[in-house]
Amino acid sequence: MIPSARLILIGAAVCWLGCVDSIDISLPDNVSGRLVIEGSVDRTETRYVFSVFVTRTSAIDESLERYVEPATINMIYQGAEIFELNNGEARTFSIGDFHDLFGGEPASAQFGIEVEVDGELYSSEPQHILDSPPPGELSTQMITREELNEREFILERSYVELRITSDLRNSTGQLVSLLWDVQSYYQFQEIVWDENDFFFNPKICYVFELDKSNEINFINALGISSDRITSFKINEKFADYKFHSGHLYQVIQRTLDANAAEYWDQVSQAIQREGTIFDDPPGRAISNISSTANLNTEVLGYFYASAVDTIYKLATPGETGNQRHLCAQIIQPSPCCACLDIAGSSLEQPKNWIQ
Amino acid sequence: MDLCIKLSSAKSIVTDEKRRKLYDLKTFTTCLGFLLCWFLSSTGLFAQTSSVHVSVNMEEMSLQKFVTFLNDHYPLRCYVTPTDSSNILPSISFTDKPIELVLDSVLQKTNLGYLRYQSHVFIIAPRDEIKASYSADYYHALEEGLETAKVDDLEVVVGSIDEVDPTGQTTISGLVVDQGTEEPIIGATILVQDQDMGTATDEDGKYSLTLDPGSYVLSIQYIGYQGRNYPVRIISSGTLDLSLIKGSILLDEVVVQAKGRDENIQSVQIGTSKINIKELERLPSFLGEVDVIRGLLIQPGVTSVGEGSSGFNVRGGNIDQNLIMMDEGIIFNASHSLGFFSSFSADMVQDALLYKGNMPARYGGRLASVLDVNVRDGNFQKTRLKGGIGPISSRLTFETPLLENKTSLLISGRSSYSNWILQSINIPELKNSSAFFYDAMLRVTHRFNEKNFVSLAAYSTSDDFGYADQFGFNYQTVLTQFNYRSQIGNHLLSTLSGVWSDYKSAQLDLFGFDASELATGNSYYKLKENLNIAMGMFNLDVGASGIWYQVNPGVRNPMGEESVVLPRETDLEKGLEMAAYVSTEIEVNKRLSLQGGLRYSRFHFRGPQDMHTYLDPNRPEADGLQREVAFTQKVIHSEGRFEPRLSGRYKMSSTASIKFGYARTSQYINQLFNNETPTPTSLWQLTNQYVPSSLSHNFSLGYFKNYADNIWITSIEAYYRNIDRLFDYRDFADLVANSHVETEILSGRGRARGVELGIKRQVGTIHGSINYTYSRSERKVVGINKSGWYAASFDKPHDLTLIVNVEMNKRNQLAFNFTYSSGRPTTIPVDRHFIQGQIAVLNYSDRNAFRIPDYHRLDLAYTIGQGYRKSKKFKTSWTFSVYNLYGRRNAYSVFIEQSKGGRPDIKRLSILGNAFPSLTFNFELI
Repeated sequence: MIPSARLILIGAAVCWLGCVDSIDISLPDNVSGRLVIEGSVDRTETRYVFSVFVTRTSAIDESLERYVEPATINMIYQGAEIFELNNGEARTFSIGDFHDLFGGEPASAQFGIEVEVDGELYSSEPQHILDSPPPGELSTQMITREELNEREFILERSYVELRITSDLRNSTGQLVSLLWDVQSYYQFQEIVWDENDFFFNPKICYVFELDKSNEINFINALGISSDRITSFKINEKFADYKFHSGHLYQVIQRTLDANAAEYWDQVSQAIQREGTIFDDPPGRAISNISSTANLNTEVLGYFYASAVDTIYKLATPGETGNQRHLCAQIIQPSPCCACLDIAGSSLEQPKNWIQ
Repeated sequence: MDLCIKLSSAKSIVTDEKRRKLYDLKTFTTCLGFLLCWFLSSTGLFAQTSSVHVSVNMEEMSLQKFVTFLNDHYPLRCYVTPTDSSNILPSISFTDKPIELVLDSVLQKTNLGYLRYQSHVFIIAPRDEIKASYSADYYHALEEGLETAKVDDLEVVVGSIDEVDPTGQTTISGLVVDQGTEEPIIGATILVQDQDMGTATDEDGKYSLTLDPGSYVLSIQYIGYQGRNYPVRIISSGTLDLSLIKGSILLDEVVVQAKGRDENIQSVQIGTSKINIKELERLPSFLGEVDVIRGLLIQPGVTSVGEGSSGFNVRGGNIDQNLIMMDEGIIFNASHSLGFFSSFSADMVQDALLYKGNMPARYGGRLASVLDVNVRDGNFQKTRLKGGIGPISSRLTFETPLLENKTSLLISGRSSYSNWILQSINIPELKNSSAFFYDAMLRVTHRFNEKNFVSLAAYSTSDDFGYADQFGFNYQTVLTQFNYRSQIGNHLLSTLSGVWSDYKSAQLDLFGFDASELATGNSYYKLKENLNIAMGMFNLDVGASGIWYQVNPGVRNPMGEESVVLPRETDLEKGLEMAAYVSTEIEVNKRLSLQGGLRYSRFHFRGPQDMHTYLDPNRPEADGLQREVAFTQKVIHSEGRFEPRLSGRYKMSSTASIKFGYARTSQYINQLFNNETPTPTSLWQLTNQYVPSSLSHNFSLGYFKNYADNIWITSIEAYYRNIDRLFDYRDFADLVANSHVETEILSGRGRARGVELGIKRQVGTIHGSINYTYSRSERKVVGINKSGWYAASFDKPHDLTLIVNVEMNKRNQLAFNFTYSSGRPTTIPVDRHFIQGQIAVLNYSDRNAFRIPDYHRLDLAYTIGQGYRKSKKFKTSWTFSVYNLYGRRNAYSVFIEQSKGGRPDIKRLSILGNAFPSLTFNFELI
């Protein structure tokens, strides 16, 4: 096959699978600002964390949240108001203190919220916390795949996948859906840039990173055939210098009941779209919050209560392909000799950084 | 012999030029008759095929003298139009040069050209008239008809001794009709063998000949029919009706486009589009694949949601509201490669007719349209091979008589070799991908006698599409059918047909925790009997049909050890759709004709079947779901209704008419798909107590007018559809192997309206058409968009198609196709919010509240065909085609990508976002 014919074939084959590019189209800019109420109760091993965000929707290209002020937010416990929350602020109680103060016990705790905005009262359906299954185990796996870059050159790229193995049935025998939020730290060691600079003492920084994929990692226990997941992928990162000296994954795992799992499933579908014929049509995710006066009043968001566990995994350089140090690839000194310049960096070693 | 052929009068030729030439120009017809008779009588003399060599010294020689010289001195017969015959030709001398070279040189600097018939007959005429008026195909067809002419044993006697005219002249007249349908044949030639005489039938199929009393053999010919020789003995003036039998020769090329003069004015049926395979072959195509369904998309009122989507939308109807028939078989998925191509290879198709809304009573079961694709019979006289080699697939059709004039065989196949191409590409994902398809047809037709025919056909298609180790599809259709036609007496034609078909599909997710296989399918048996009673002007169709469906709504199973997909299995559903109908066409007077019919359809959803019960059976919702119950009765649900059909035509003049139509249509099997277009595994849902049947009222009104002696054909049609029952889906509907899928469906109603404008120039060096449609298609469903009206996802208000064909000559043709349509409706994010300050969630507009950008595209095709002077045994052509010439990236969809904290990026998915050139080689061996 001659090269030009080959190029045509490749082009045709690539386009056969769809060409995606950016376009400018005018989206609505006079956003009405629909009411959104997102609330949660997290029960960790030692404490309860309550938080509610009352916001209004913003234009697509706005990146700031539009908090609703004033909004009166009351936490409901066992059907009664127990305290008021500030919008967007978390309030924490130790589990013991909470029950000493408000009675009851963790197993039978039932939470809700009531929010008053512009004279209209919104309330959530009551939520129980499902106990966590035994803590899962994290592992990493290297994969390599060939991809087309933006200039349509074929490149081979390596990724580190984070996987979890976990039971989905808790100690009381209930099937539990799980939602994961992946955070991580990586170690960044400064290097001596100028060998004549005898006063330079290289530092070791630990850089905190959030998962920026905007993907929702969860498993709906009722939608699968097993009560255990094995090596289930929950994160993927480009294998680069961030894995040179170790990479600590910190996975925050929340339990979800069936309705909350459905909510996250629908939110996930609304977010992760590819525009192909296989995409399900977009829709509006369910909500368990409604106006007490008028069920037809539109409100977005969900209130859920979860048992929260944090699971750690330190991925060693050997496990992640012995990636090169950033400073072996770039020529400018920063951040090679100023690691604190990196956003999210600190000299304090995370307490779970255990080799 | 120095005949004058008045070619100059041959100026109006329409698309069915082969027929019109004879109709319009009696002079020409007569001369052609002479020509043919002369040719036949002299075949012994001119049996050689080598070129005649000529020596001539042309000094001040006129064209007329030149022609006379050739005719006198060489075994040639040349004819020239008298208006040109006095022209003085250039002074040139030739010594022993081929006649073609001589004519080329002599006529080079004039506006004249020549047409060669057989090897030694040359007609000299202005070039533009030759291009417009005569084609090699035409003569070829005539010749074949003549070669295969049937000689009747019995001599027919016309007149009686008591009625002999004293002048000695007799006139015989009569009709030439299709023996099968008894419809008059317009433009058939009647030649008197061994006499320089002949004529052609007029627009009513009538002819008249004046002859001396005596015995003759009349040769009747018409393209697409077997030629027929009638021995007649004429005693006095009288009538003689003649008939022809449809033949298979060149049907694919000729008959499909053969329309009677002003047929669009005459016919009673409104809202029909005939797919002209021959014209389709000349139009630009995607990757060289001539496609019947893509041919539909250039018709007014027919759209699709975009490239790479299977199916088509007719007059505001959903894709599943089109009945796609291959003879009597129903095709549930007529697409290859997820909709890029249709599964009908053009080589096996005789013709395809689309009824838009107003379908006759013999059709039913779908709301919006019927696409009736007729498969060709094999050739009863000759073995024939036809095929094409394209960039992604090749096709081959073989036909031969098994018993001459009794039994014919047609085998047609097409297969892609895209797998081979993909495997030669050094991209791992593509190397491990597949995009294979094939379709094949086997058809045997047997004539027991002139009145009894049977055809047996088997059809199979298969697609296998996979992308690396990620996902894939495969789907197959198998269909077998028989068709037995029997003429009982002179007025009754019985057609009995039986069909069995099985469609299977699988969707494969090959990777990860959600690796699974989803299998769906359906099969059916169909039996239909149609009786046609034709007595003079009275024509009645009576029939009944039954279809037994078995539908597999879906079985999902995990694949691989990693998969945690929950297996799902749903029960096989069974249903019986029955119908009886009667329809007739009545000519009230010369101007007004009516076609009316009544169809009664009934559907049984059959048990035993496990189904769910609901608190409110009229509103099956997940919240009200009670339990699964075994329904043991044979008929769980039954419904039926009358479906009246009426069409009318009022002829305002011979070139203008007004038509109207009404049809009530029902649909008892619907395809459930929550996407813009069905996927191969989108399941078909039978009507049951929770999923109602659909019902539509279709109204049409049109004005049809032809201009300039049928050269220009224009029409304007308006339609309105009211759909009493249809359904849409809840947000995030779960349709996959769902045993209570009715909880995901919302019932509502719909309406569609539109105006279709068509202008077509049928003849000339430049001809083509322009079609414009303004239409709206809307729905109203409780639970969607606050129960208000909203646009259907295929609602495209403006749709324009422009086709230009430039026939530079018979050999070189250029065609352009420009398409424009409004962007289709879509649901896009209108705002967003954040979950706990991190996850950005998009909030979508009301359903279909926005539109994607408008669609437009220009295609080009250049065909270098076989000249009429080339061998007739092996015909070849090359077609170079460019799809999407200016490479517009038409959006299939618009969506938004966003990362945490990043700005959202508006993306457009273009399925065919570049120009796609292709080169196809076509061949035919006769």
